[in-house]
Amino acid sequence: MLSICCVSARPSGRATLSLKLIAVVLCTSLAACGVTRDQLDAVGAFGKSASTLANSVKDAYAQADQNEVDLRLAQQIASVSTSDPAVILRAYGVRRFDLSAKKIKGRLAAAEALSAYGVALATLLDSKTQDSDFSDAATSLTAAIKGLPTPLLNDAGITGDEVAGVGAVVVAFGKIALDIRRREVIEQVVPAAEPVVTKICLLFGRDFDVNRSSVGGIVKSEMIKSIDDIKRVFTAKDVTNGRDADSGATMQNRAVLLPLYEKLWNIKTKSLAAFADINDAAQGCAKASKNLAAVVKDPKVTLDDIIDFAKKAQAAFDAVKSLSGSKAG
Amino acid sequence: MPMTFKCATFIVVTNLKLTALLEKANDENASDAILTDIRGKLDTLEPQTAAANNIVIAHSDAEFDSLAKKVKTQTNKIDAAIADFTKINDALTAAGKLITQITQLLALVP
Repeated sequence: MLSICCVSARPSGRATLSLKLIAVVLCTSLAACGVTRDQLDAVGAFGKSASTLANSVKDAYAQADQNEVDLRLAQQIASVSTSDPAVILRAYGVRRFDLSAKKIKGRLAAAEALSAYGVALATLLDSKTQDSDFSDAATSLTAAIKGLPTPLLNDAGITGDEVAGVGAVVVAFGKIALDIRRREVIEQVVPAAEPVVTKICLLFGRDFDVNRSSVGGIVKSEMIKSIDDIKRVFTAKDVTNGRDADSGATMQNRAVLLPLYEKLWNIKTKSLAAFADINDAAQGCAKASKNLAAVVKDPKVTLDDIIDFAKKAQAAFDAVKSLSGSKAG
Repeated sequence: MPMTFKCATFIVVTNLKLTALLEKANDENASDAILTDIRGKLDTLEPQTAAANNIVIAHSDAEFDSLAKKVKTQTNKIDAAIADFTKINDALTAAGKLITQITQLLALVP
């Protein structure tokens, strides 16, 4: 009923002036008239998917950082070119790539901001939400946006004005009674946040593109190399330092090398699948973020991109969950 | 000795292309000579790879992109061989030239 009211209130060439006035007056008298069910669903779905993607991204970085230990270990077992234990130990102490929280603070802050945005939208759209809940979510979002470090902002191409725009709008609406101003919140927060959210999503998309020399590509390179190192020593083909005695010709060596090969192959397969899903979901997020801003302005805009993003975010979440399962295996 | 960002970018891009080529060579059951050649090139970069990875991860996308574009024309032949393995010889020659360039960049570091 409410959505019919809203649609009919939109100016149309066929409507007469008096009918429009009646519709506007009628709508104004109903507090939440402006919010169509589709708009609410779209905002809610996007919010939940954005949080899901952000959490998947954080988990994928953490898992890749843990997998690095296995890669390094395999490389030091299979490809070492010296027999000096001190040199081997020293080399083992050098990370092949460092994705520890300390080194990727900017990326984690961006994931946190995306997550906080998703939570704020989902909280806003939850019928059980109280003013204080949204106020808390808005405070977290403002803190997360303000916490984005400058190099990350430069990296993603996010301007200071864009950050300030989101912060100002969120702070202003955090204190407003929800039931009567829900639409106003959506209409102003979503477009203000869109440029920042879209750019963060694109940043994650690039980072998890395995064909690009960023995190995804670097992890992929190291995995291929580690697996080939095992194959190389196993078959005693062109291994350095005359390591024929390390080949798979002996049962002891096979007992070490084959499980190592199996483990790395498993990690590689699952990691690359998870990265591809995150890349896909992140690009879907960027599209959906733009779509959401359009939907908020015009309820007749198709929701396809948002629905597509929701599916991709769930796929990425499932893939990352399976990735963490491969560690134990 | 600190590695320059340019050098790190060249190493990371070359590594990415060479490992993709190595994977392709394994899939194609390439000759030992080809596998040895690719592995030898990766071995040359190996002592600098971990440092290069971390420098690239720490830098911004925009900085990386502008440098990576410069390497792209030199890695086209490697990409071509990944798509069509009959072009492997041209790819190995191109990779050799890239590695010489990287070695020169490393030597430039004071």
